[in-house]
Amino acid sequence: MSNPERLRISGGAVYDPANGIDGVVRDVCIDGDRIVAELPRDAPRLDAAGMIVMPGGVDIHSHVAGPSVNQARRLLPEEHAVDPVPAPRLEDGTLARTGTGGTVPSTFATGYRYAGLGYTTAMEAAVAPLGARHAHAELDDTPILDAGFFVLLGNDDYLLRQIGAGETARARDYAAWLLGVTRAYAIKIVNPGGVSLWKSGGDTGRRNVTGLDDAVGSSGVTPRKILETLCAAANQLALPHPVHVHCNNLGQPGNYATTLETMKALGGQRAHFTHLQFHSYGGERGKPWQSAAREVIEYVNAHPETSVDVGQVMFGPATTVTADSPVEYLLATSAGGGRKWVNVDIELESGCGIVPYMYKERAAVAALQWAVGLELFLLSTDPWRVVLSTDHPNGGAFLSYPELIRLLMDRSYRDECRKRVNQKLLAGSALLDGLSREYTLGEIAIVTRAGPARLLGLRNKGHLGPGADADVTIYSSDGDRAKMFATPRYVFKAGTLVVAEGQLRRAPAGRRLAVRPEYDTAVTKDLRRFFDAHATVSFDNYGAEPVP
Amino acid sequence: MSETIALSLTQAPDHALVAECIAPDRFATLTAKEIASLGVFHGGRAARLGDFFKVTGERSSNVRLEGDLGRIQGIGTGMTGGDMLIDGSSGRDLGVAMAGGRIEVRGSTGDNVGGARPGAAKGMTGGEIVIRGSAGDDAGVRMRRGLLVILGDGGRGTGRAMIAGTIVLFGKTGPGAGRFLKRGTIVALEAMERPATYRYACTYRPPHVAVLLRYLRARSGVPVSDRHITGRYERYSGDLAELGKGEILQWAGE
Amino acid sequence: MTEHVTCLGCGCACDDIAVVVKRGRIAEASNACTLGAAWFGDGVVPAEIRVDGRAATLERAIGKAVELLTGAARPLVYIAGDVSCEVQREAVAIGDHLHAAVDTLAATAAGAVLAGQRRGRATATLGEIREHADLVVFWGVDPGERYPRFIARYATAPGDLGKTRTVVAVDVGASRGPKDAGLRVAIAPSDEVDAIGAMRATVAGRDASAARFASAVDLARRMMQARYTAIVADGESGPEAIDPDRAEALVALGQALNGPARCTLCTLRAGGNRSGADAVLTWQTGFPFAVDFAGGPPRYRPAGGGGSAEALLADHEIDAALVIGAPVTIPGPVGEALDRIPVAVIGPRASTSAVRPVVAIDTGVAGIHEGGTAFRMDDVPLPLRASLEGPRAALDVVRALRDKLVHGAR
Repeated sequence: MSNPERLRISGGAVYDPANGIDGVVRDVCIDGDRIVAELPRDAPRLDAAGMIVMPGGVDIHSHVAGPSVNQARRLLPEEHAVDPVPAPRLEDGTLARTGTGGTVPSTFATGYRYAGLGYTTAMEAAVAPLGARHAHAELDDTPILDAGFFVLLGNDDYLLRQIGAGETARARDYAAWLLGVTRAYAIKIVNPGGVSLWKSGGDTGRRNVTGLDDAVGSSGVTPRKILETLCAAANQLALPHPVHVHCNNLGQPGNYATTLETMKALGGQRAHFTHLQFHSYGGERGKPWQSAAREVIEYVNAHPETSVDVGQVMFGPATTVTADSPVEYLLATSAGGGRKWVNVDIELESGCGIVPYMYKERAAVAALQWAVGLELFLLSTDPWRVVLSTDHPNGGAFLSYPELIRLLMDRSYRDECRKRVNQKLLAGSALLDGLSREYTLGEIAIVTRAGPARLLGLRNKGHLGPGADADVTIYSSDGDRAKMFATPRYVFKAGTLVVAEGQLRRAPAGRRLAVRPEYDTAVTKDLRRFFDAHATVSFDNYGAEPVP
Repeated sequence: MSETIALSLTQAPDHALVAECIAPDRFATLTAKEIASLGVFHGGRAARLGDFFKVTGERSSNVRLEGDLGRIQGIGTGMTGGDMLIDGSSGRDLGVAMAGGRIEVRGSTGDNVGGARPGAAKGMTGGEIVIRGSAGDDAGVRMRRGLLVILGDGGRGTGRAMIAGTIVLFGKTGPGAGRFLKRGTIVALEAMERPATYRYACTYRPPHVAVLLRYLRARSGVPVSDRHITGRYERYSGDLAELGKGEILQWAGE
Repeated sequence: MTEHVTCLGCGCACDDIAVVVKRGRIAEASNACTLGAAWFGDGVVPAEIRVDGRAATLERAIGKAVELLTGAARPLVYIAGDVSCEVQREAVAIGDHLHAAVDTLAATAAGAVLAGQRRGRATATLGEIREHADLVVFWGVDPGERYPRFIARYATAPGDLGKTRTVVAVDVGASRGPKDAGLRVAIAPSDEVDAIGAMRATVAGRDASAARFASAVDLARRMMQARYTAIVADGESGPEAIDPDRAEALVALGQALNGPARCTLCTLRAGGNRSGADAVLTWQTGFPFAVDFAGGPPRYRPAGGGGSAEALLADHEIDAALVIGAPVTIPGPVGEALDRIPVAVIGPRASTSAVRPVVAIDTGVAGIHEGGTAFRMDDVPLPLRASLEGPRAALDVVRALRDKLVHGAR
């Protein structure tokens, strides 16, 4: 099918919540790579009568590119062997590429499959500064998606030193400098202080922090201080996306207390808390786990400055890949161990842990995690601040989003599934009280597009108003929402028709999303000294900028 | 539907032929035509099973393979049931990740029989493989359940990193056999080189070995001598570097 | 003078080299070790384009390469050394388009990578060894020989840690650790994997100590009491034959030691940006080497699977090959087999290649004449800097070839 410069998508039911449009039948006009208010009558038309029109999907948190993801790819040849991805036949002469899938697909397959789901923007959620150059190279090989990444801060020696010395202004300048030289989009904090402890060695006693006020190295440095410093920095730098926080104690029973404490510590300031599901457990070590979703989501509901993505667990194969390396050690050695396990300590900066994992319906903890995620969705009062993610590939692969959408939109289906899973730990889960809420198409459009775009500060994404990027996804209406969202009929990326009749037809390169905040360059003098004393990479070779 | 499906090699492959589609459970629902049209890789390139084999019979999970299959790899990959007789020798990767059913090989096999795909945590997870000749290297690697019988010699790394299951070795074996073994049993009727991380436990007449050998004699007509059935075995537990919950049972005479 | 130049002479990828050019030649590469100095040389490389040994235009050479590769029933694309990741990415794309087999220089450490695919691995970037390790164990390797600055840059602790650090040399037969190690443990090559097993049994609290493993077991106890142990082993093969189970045994030991203490296993890799080839092939196909596009999507048949360049060539499966990179870096068996089939070579000193290529297009050397990205042995990406004018850039030539192949196919 041809791809005219100007196109009127006519007759579809449009879901554009950012502009208050909820299923109204109206035209959407594309001129070049932008949405425009109107086009001449004689402009080419795409008849979308009876179809559903939404902005392209926006993934706020996904692991798709960079050193950790590639370590995971290298670890999973057996998954790739059974999920070959043939080269799609493209119309525009672009050299289509083959690849492999599984929970951690090759780069080209990642771009094709996201587009095949109607997603046109994704954020890689965790890149160590030392690996930034690698992450950009992979994103260059990830077609179609407009993409950026969050750079890891909060366990890095230089920052911890500044915090220890009370140099908050310098810490802010450092963060700004780092965002710029790594061409990153936002600040990611993973288990603040905990990874640093894990890396510094020693016996099992002091391998992680347990709460916000544990000392990290010098007494003046605590998770709380790290969070406060970076959160303030991000807001003072007026970054489009605030600090993106992976709290301490991920996956531990009783961790909801830490999660709430963290939210309160940053109370009143913009902050995003990621894969909340993994941080909303009650109970305590050695005792049965339980859901604490209600306690956590009620706080979120009441605090407009706070936003989250859910990190839903979906049953089936997953690969846990995170900078939270001490947690991966626990997972690798739990239940008798014997699992594949990768740990990479990243000098002066961060960590990386990887464990392939299977979420089984019959497993008590997996069933609890599944339920907790759904509770967070269903008890949320503001879809703009509680958006969809599976923390791909940690809670499940992004290919499972359509199934997740069905769980949110179809109560009877959800109840069927709930009856099938292990009930052991579900006591106290709101799911048992038969949460009757069913997400509307408008709400789905918020949690998969408009919401993430707004939280990321992407003004031209997640909506279909004049001036917006012409990223448009068109679905054939289908009562089976999983089927409908798994196979969009048409997908436009920046005005290019990438999917037609469900087939990938074009695979243009995506654009890079990055920030370059202002800062006092005096900090670079001090950084040079630090690099000369501690780094194994020259200061001038650091980061991801082209060198002369 | 017919008694058995016979695949006879009519066109010897010029290259390695990867034929993972050859599996009795898969054939059980297919006509001869459909079987012949199943995909294989010949020298890496896509081809059809029928380009190399004459298929007679249909819709049966009782399969017989005829001809020199030495260059044919991956036969029975992931098979879950049925019976397959290979009236000759097979190439590497026979019964990789096999989950059930039975394979008997009149001749010898290449490497990684009953083994695992590259990087896979588990090899064979069920079923039986009986090899009348010898096996190549890495027979039964990462085996999780099931039975692998080698009447001839095993190569290097036989039973490496077994998770459970049983291997019976009538002949000799190469170095590294039983290395990294977590659980499971290797029964060695001839003197076998053990990793040093196995510890002698005791010498006894294990009833389960007698039962197993009698079963092989009855079920597969394996020539088992009474001295092996009633004989004494030295039990070595290991691999102590892993769980140490596995064993090598070394025949020690009558 | 060009500063902060990254050297690809070995996997250390030292990026503190200052290159001085006088009269079109490299006069000095300061900070470079002997290996590095030899790698930079005077920077003078041939700039020939040859078809059947005779001078030709670039267009003709590329046309001939296209003819050779599209006419082949079973082409191989081999990524050799001294090219940037940007060039490697194009090389894999060409392999994908040609439905070729693709293998790379990274396969020289296949054993370590395959062990990692079976178990994962506990590792770290090299700076962690310097900053954190209080116990460094050189397992059958003295980095001084093939990785001359490794100890100075990555294993010499700053400040107090230096005073308390213990350096251990494990001598496996003739493969000996550093001479100045504070402690030596001798292991017979035939005992090596058993000894590692005995050490791991000790870590797991099981007694597997035959008398001959006593010193290895003592070392295991020392590792358990350390804060942070670094085990340094060579991923590349040496003169000594190595037990194929050694790599997995070391991976497992390194992982197990993270119970009682912390431990990283550092696998030494040689130069030429082979680690980059591993990374690029992995992100584009999901597999680190021995990839086959013949059936369309990439398939992986490493080790005995017969999918490596060495195995395919030995089986006479390949009827034409494209080598991208410096032919001088190609491992012996692969190089000898390539000499028997028609080959097109695009890379540094292609025209002087021992494989007697049908098409030879000389390019600059990545990191001397061309910029781009390369990976250190620990997968840390580094920028490359051009310090000297060279012949045509490898990236331009490879892109031109890819373009011709794609449009020729239309």
